[in-house]
Amino acid sequence: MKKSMKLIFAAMLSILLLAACSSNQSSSSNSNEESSNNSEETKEDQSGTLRVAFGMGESEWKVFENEIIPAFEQETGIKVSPIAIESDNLINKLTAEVDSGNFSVDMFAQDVNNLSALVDRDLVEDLSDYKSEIPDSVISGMVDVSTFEDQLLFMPYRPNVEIAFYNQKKFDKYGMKPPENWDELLETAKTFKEEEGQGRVAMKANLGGDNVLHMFDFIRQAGGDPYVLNDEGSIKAFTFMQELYPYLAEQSSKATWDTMNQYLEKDSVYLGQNWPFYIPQFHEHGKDEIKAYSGWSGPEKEAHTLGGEVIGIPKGSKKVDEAMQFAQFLMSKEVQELLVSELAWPSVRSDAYGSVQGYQKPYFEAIKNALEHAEPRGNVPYWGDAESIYTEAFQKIVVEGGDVEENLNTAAEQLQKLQNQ
Amino acid sequence: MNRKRFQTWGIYATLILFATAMISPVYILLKVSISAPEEVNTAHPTFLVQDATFDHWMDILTTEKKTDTGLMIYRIEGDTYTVEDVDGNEHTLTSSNQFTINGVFKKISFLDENKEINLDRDGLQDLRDHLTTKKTFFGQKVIDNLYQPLGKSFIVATVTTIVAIFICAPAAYVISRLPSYIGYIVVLSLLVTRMFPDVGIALPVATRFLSWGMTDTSFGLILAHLIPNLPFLAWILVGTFATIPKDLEQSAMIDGANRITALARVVFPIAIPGIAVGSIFVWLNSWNEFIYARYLSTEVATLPLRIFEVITRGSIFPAAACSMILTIPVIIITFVLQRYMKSGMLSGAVKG
Repeated sequence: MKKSMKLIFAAMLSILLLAACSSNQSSSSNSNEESSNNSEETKEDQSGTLRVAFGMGESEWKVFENEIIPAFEQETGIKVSPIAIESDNLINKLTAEVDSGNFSVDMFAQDVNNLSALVDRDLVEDLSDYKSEIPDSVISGMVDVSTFEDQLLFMPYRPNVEIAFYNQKKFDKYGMKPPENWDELLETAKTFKEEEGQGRVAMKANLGGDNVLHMFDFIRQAGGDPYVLNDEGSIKAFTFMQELYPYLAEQSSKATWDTMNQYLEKDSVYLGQNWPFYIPQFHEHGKDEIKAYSGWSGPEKEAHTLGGEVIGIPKGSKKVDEAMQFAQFLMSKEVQELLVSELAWPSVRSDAYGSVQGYQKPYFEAIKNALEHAEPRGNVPYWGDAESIYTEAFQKIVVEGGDVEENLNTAAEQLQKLQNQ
Repeated sequence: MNRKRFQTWGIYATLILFATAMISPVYILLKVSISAPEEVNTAHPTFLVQDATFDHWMDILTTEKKTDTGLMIYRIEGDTYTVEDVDGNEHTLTSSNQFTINGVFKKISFLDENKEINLDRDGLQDLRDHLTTKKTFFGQKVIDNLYQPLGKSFIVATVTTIVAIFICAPAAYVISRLPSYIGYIVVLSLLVTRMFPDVGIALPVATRFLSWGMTDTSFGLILAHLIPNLPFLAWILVGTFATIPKDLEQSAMIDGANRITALARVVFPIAIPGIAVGSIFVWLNSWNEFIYARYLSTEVATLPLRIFEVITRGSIFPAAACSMILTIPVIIITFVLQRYMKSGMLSGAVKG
């Protein structure tokens, strides 16, 4: 007993020592922390530390921590403290901080398709006065997604788009090529299901935000307008999804932006669309057979929803000027070229050409091709209420096999009501 | 005799089955953390480790050496490497040269001499393919990403447990000695507070704590963790104290002890098994807690929060190694505290 207590005590002591090795951001005792908290903040305010929240992958963090942030600090003398916060958690955190007027984040990058909650809750600064500082070469679509009812609430920073990942070994095994149109997509899904006894083509049919973006892609590919929802294109899209659904992988109902990568990596899905952030991990884990291309066309065109991130500043922040300096630095040609070269991120500027090399090159080509067919989802003030209309329509038509036109008419009516409010 | 033997074997078989079911996930976690990715990323992964590697552990336990300004220190692989600067001049780098790279402004700066070389984007890209770095176990990144979260989780869980016991043990004793219908109402009202989901009260709590300047402090998180744990521990301990006969403390008081001495010398020692069980639960609840930590941590995460970050944006391999680090203290603490859980403490305590 005494021995084990000693062991526990030694373990506790070593953990405490390790924790104490940290920078003075976290003090060694609770009471110190509490009492120094306010003075710490004042000290940080004076020293000009800019606390920036990002949600990024491992390889993306490395480039920011090792190159971009030190370069900015050298250039401006403003110290940047990066914080890892994912998109959804950021909204909750900012809600609490804006309410209390006590900020731990001075600037953040947020997913362009997850902005409505921030705007609805009035959590972000109006940046309209800084509109002139957006370089002319910045993609106009990124300015559009940053603008809500003629107010510039965000700054463009990074465009992004979903591409189609496929397992080349599996396609080769059955002598198939990645599908280029809807007919081929259906044929591919059927073939895999017949050959393997279960679906191997996945879409994000999780009845969440991811799912809605895929619906938008299909509707636009058929020439429809997702904000009308019962036009000819939308009917074609839902009819096709209904036909495709039985042949999809069972993982589709759980597929999200992060789980889709796991399904592809573990060979349980052979074809699926996702954001490109996991490409370095595929390579590191020896999964070079997972290739990518921009995706398939519909009866009318190829269409993708423009994604990516924009920069926002919490409402009431005292560091707007420093944050804007960092935002401009991120939009600069040099930084954008570095992001292209090192991470194969598509540039937010049309004049920044990094040279993508090695294994990333074909993926970058796929991203570039997809971006050529990308359009914003659209910033509508009623988005928070609209999302459930789309997912309900998907559930009734695609999952349960309900009548397409009847259900779309009902959904369109509900959408119309929101638009008229 | 045969039937008895059969029953014994049946009990053993059931116990082995349960133990296997409990240990399997931990084994799989360990296996993933020491397996090559190719071995795990397949439709039919093997149960045993075929090709052990400690790379994933090294990824989370070591970091590259950096300068004070946060730039990574590089060396070239091999003996020499020639680069051409933007003016067309050639420079030979040797294996003894240490330098940093400013990728934004495309220049390399030498640590051992006051010299900079400006390169074009392609030249810099080529150079990157021939670089190596030195790893260190106690770099700032490892401290920030592992040791700080580990320390914070440990401090918060331990202090939460101690504070919860100090508050709940006397309170539970009092409740257990109240008339049964009053005690029942008090216990019920304690349980009512657990009917509200943490996620529902975390936001207002976070807002209040923010205005008090208690975010990112262990103290704030301890207070938050006490919210769900106090009623839970009190509920467990009321049951514990209720089983201890009043006659025991009365006997002690007849022998000259006052109430406090009777409590300290007689009641609490007998209640230790219940307190140990409660402590384990509270410590584990706090150690694994996610929601309050998510709201109240910005700069220094707790370990579960850190694992969540690694899982969502990184890969499962370092996440598995991080999760093993989260699991090890749980095993140690549980192993030590389970010694206090002795049954039969009360047998023969009161003679009829």
